[in-house]
Amino acid sequence: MRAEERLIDAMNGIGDDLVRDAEDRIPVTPVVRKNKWVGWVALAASLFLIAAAVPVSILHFGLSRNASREMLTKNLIDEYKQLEENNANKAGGTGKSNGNIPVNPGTDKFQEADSDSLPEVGEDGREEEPREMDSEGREEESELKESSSETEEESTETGESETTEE
Amino acid sequence: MEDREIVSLFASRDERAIAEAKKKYSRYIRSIAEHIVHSMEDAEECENDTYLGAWNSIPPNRPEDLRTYLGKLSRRIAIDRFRKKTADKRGGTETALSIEELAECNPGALKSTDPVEEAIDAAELSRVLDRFLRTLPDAERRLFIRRYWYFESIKEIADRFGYGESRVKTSLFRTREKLKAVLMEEGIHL
Repeated sequence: MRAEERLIDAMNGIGDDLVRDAEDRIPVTPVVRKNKWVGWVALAASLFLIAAAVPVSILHFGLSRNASREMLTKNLIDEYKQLEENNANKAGGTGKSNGNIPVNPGTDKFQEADSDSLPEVGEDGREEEPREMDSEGREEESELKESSSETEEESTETGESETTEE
Repeated sequence: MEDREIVSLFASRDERAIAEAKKKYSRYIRSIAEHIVHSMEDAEECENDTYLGAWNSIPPNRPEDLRTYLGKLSRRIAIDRFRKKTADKRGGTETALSIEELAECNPGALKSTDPVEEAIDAAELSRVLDRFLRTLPDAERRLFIRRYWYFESIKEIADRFGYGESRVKTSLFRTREKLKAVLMEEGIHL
């Protein structure tokens, strides 16, 4: 028998486990295994980066949006204050507003605030000092009397002067 | 049915053993035979001879791995059939090609002039081969066994393991070179 045929025959005597093992379809070489590992590691790393980047970017954009909104609100308030100050300057020249900003026109509060803030105007068109009132809402009598006596005196004086002239 | 039960049927001379073995391992046995004899009809005969061989050898044998035991029987029967059919003409088939490849492993320079003295029996050669195969890397060993035990073609092996054919050929060539070196070290003359 030729040598190669004896080898073929001898192959029949190798261990059953070796024959069984050769039925597996997984002769993975170290190179393939290494490449697979590299691939898995790269995949895991990229997934990790994506997972980390998404919440960070959401947080970042959310914060910047909030910041811009706050800045816008602040600018609006500043502008409003500036406008109010300008209006007050134009109206009174005092440079200060009375602080009563009609927020809701038509309500009692608005009307009260409005009536209080308006200066009283006399018959001659000039502004009058507001009358002092007592606790019951009436004008003080003494002052009224004083004013009446003063008018009487004035009238007597004028009467005397008229007669002398005649 | 479990292998242990089928072996028990063989041991108790119960004819159901053959039916059960056929039901479970027909495809496996026929596949091995087909790769050697390259004929459906011959493979079928090999299969039947395998069951007969198992019937005649169990007992006294009581195999722990019935599948491989039947596979080895089928392989031996198919090789014998192949030799008978190709006694007058060599070459042409994948089996003949596989056998010729193994001729490279023969350390001819050490060949003794006294074949009786230097001859080594098949059992000893099997033990050397077994030891040698266990020293090989997994992939290399599987490729070698698929080629020289199962007699698969280079293409079949490449497809099975997802390699290129040239890679399979290179691996087999290196393994044969290693086997030759081992046989020389062991002082085995074929």
